[in-house]
Amino acid sequence: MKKIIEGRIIFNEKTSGGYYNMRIKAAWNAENVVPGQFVTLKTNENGMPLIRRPMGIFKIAPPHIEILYKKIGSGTGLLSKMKPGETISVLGPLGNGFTLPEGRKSAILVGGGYGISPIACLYEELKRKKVKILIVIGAKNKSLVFKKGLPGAKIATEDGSDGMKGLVTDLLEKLCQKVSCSTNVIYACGPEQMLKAVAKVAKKHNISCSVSMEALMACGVGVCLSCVCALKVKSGFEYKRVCTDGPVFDAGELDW
Amino acid sequence: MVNLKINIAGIKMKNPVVLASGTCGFGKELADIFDLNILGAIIVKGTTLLPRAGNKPPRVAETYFGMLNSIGLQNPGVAAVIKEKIPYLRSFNLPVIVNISGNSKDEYAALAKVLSRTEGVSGLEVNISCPNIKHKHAGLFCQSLRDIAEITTAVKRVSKVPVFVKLSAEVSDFKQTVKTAERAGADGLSLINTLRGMAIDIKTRRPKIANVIGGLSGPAIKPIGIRAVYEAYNSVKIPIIGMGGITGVEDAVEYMLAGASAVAVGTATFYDPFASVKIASGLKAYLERNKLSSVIKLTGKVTL
Repeated sequence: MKKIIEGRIIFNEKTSGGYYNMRIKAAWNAENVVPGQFVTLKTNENGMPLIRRPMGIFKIAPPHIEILYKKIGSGTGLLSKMKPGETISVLGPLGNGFTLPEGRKSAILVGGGYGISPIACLYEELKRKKVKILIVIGAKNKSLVFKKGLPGAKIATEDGSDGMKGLVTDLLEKLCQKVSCSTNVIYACGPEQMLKAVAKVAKKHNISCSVSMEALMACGVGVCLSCVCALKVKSGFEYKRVCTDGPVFDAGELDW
Repeated sequence: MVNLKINIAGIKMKNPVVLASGTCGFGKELADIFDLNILGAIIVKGTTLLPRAGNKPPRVAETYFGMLNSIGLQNPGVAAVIKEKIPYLRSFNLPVIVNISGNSKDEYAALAKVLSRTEGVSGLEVNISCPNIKHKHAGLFCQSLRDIAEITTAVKRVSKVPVFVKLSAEVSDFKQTVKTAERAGADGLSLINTLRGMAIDIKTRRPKIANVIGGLSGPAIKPIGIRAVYEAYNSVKIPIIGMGGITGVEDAVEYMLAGASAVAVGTATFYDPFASVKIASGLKAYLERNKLSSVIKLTGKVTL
């Protein structure tokens, strides 16, 4: 059941890669939240911005959840000024999270940009389930890399200032050559172009791949039909809602 | 004890607060968040004869105190709506009004014929003001008095349920527009649809929505909606469902004072799914505070 709650902010501080990390006390049962789900936040009680901001869940620590965000616009600008003890309207948990297919013992996690947030959340869950994890992170440069709490993460930066010079998919390609396609699964979250490239690598190596899509969203609950992405169907394609049909989709089903 | 009940063009509602078409799907998603029975009615997503994929994303852009959308009437088509969507809504105790869209008067009539004979459908809202689909004439159907008359007449001829004609305020002579719908037999009016707008990303120099132009909704358009309802109320005798930027009970009261018999909540539901529920309870409190026995006493009572 989706709920709106007034969540109390526990902390809201700058962290690795220029991100902010906010911990919110969520009165709904945080135990039922799964990695890949998201919440929407009303950053201003009345007035601008009007629309809630969707945020992937970064950490599930009942009765708290955490989000990771960057100060990029009016909404996240207001968010960054909020202080511990203040409350914020949280709608969630929303969307369908990641699932681990039967028989998969190892996972490759791919995170780019803000996509690192649900990927880091999934990392914790898979660690608990004793799944073997490889993690690759892509960013434009070193200052934008979030790697806190992600030991052993392999990094690719476009300018070579951290890890390998190149794209995250170059790293992924190398990893895929070494792993078994039947026991592995790829999980990715990041910009659409990155996900498209990840899906291509996964297909080439015949590895099951789930991607978590990002989209502009107005309602987050499936009524506005703003956040659609195209899925392949017999007759061509069909637009599905990222908020309620996703945000996690099988990469092979998407009509890139 | 205050009375919130209304009878609008023959449709009985327990209160005048309804969900606006295009902002509540076919009810199911919001029913997971609150009890739909609290509301006066639901006006479900724009329905067309055949399924429509909708427009390419991005479909939405936030603007000052509002948003632009260009969804393009994505819907599963009338057959699926009748088979899958309406039966679900029958389990609730609230009138269902189906918003219909077509490319010709024959399409509107075909939709009206089948939907008005579907159990569970209490009314039709004829959308001749959608900014997001292309017609043979450039612009909106409701910008042509002849189209308004022809489509309304065609729908009224076959409909078994009350017909609300949904119009835009983006016309040269609004009074003539509403009078034309009334003369053609409309049982009520839905005022107003979104207004056409555009937003450009100055970094990429590209329009923020893929369809270039979209419909503006939200608090930004409320004064235009109030003006339209006020002008319509003074031009026609048929009842009006007022909409456009209603976010709180104050907005709902304002629309009613301007002449609306019912109010529809749209964009506000996106950022507060409980907006309509809060408005319904707020309206009761407003009547009590102002010692008004019935909500119908508000309609058209602006003091000039």
